[in-house]
Amino acid sequence: MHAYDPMSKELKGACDGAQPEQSAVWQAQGLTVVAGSLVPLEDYNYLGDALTAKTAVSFAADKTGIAADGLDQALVTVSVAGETPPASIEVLVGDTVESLALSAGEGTLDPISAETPCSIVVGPADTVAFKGGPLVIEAAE
Amino acid sequence: MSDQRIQYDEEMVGAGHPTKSDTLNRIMLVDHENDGSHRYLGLRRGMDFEYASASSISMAAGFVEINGQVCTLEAAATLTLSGISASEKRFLYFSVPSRGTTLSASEFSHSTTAPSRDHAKGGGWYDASGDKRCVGWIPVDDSGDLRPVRVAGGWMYFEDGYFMLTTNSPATSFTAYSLGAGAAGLGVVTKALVRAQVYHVSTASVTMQVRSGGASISDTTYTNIAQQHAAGAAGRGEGVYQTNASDQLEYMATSGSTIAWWLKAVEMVI
Repeated sequence: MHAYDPMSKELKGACDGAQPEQSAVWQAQGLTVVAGSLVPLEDYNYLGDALTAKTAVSFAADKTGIAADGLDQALVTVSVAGETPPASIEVLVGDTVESLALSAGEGTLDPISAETPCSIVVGPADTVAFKGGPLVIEAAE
Repeated sequence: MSDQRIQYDEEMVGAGHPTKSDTLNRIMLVDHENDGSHRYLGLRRGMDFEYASASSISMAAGFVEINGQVCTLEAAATLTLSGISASEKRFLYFSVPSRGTTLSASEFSHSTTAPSRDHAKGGGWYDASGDKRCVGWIPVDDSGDLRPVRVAGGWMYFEDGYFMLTTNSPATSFTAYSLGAGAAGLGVVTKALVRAQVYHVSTASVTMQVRSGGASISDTTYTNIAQQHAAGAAGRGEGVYQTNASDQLEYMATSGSTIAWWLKAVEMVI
């Protein structure tokens, strides 16, 4: 049995077999409950109102540690799996969403730098449609 | 296992109430019959079994009373379960050999039809004909393969756990959850060893609570089975709980979180 958000289409719950009480809880939360087998929440969504595997995205950096001097830079390459990858993808870089054009499923983000020590998390902005990451770039003095 | 005693803030309810759970007899019914006698499953020793392949089990030697005859499985045997289907339970039966009392694969059979308890035969579980003694059961997964299990000491252990539920929209008040394919479904109270995990990325303190099935609404005899004390650091835990006769436990999370729970083992009531 599956429960998903009818607005975002995010898979919110999965359990084994019919569970009337569990179904009532999910329905009270405004979720849509449908039949289905137990699957990992992080791997699927209900885009198109059917169970759909999330598209895998991978992130690779030339280095995961940079100097927090505003000059040192890390280059992050984004790869989207599948035979027909999208032309672009929105990537969360720290607190900023960056739209990245893809060529044959691959693209490179603008160089990442930092002036103060911090951790910069890189991952897909749309976690309903995509799974992968996060990649963390550590900026240190 | 959680405290089964009736608590000071619970209603005193006897057996057979149309809507409320029996609290007065709750503690007595653990391992006991309704007449107060100890739960007795009929003469049997050994014959524990474990998963051998997707369609066979390995059963240890032992003996069992079938219709008044003590029959012996003299050596460990591999028993094949042909014709099984996805997401079902198979009950394992032995009948009395046509000659002698030595059991073999010839006397073995399996069925999706559950047995019933026959007190006239020492408390053993028998099929509808009364000729086949049930010695256990095994669940089939949704691919049509026997689930990897091991039976020992009166418990069935699920290798890697039998995954029951994962959700980031958990119930925040106690909600019944059936063990489903993880329990025999014979309408008797049983015990379950469960493992749980609770997680929230930004809320530091979140807790998953579990209590025995059929508890009354005012029942406070729950256990904090898993607690997260720091944001993003998942809490995990295990506990033994008693189900109600519908194979249900009850669970809740104290606030929004991602929870998951697995059945590690269930008491073999056969």
